[in-house]
Amino acid sequence: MMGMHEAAIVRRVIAIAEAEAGQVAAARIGLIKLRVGEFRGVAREALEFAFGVLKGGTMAAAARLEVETIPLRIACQDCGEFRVTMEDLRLSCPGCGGPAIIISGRELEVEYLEFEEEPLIVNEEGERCIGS
Amino acid sequence: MHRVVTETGIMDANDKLADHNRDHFREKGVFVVNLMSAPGAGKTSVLEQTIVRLREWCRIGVIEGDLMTTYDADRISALGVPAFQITTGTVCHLDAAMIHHTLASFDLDGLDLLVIENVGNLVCPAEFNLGEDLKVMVFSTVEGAEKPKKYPLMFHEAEAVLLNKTDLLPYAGVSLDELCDNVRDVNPEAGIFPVSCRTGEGIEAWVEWLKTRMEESRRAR
Repeated sequence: MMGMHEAAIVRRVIAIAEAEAGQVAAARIGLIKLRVGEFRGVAREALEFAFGVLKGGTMAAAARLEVETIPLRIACQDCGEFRVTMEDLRLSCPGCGGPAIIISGRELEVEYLEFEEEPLIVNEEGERCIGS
Repeated sequence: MHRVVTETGIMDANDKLADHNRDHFREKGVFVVNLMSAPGAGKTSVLEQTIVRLREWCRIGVIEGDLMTTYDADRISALGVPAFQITTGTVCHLDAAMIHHTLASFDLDGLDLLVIENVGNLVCPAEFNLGEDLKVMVFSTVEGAEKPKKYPLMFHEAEAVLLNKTDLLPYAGVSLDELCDNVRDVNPEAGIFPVSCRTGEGIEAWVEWLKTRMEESRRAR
């Protein structure tokens, strides 16, 4: 199912990718690479489903989506860094119980894009194909 | 094929507009609260309870976010407080751009406190900064003690978490201690306020905390 949350994110991703594609006058977008921190609570399947639905009619219509999940890590000034799992979520320092800050796991970014030179065309059978 | 490294934050455009809103709020001397919760947790009830205790102390305005209806804005207007309604249609959260557009037709002059009641949703609103000074979350205790672990982002983002409907705890079989522990696990710094909008229990403590927070912010300006 398409989570509304993921749909909102995907809309923004496509807008960012189209703006970048416009800047370099690319024919179309081939790949969108995302970095998503696990603390964001974004479901990968929902993201991929939303992308499949929402990319239609955009410059990303034939693009692939690659999602890298970034683990949640916290740091305590005294005790150093720790990996925290979403299954056992505690954001205070496991060493001393003091305050800790999140150092990774909150990412939500378009890391890179790949653009293609050949436009996407629709042939006589109504199939979308690449090149002329 | 050629690759372009963008490293563009997906929320960057929203955050930039939120900063713009924040500048505007600062200029007008208005303290802004972004009030978030799942549907039915009691945001509007908390707001009503807060308004009746604060309206002699400061001048309040409200922006109401809702998918379709104006029920909430009507409830706030009935208290003699200016309320502006944003209906978001199919969008499940408010974003900085919606607030920005609203400010064109909502007069901030003469206000000390602006509360933005977000669309009822436990997930999306946490992602979108609006330019607020303070994020506050209302959670309905009867929904279960484990929810902070299941939906950590909003609990983490909020500076204050109001645990509403404490009057229903005996019927719901939910442990308030366990719930508070789970809130602290995802947000060790949070101000936690068990409240009941029905009985008024706990509301004073929350309102006093808010007043202190507003005064601190005023002094820091």
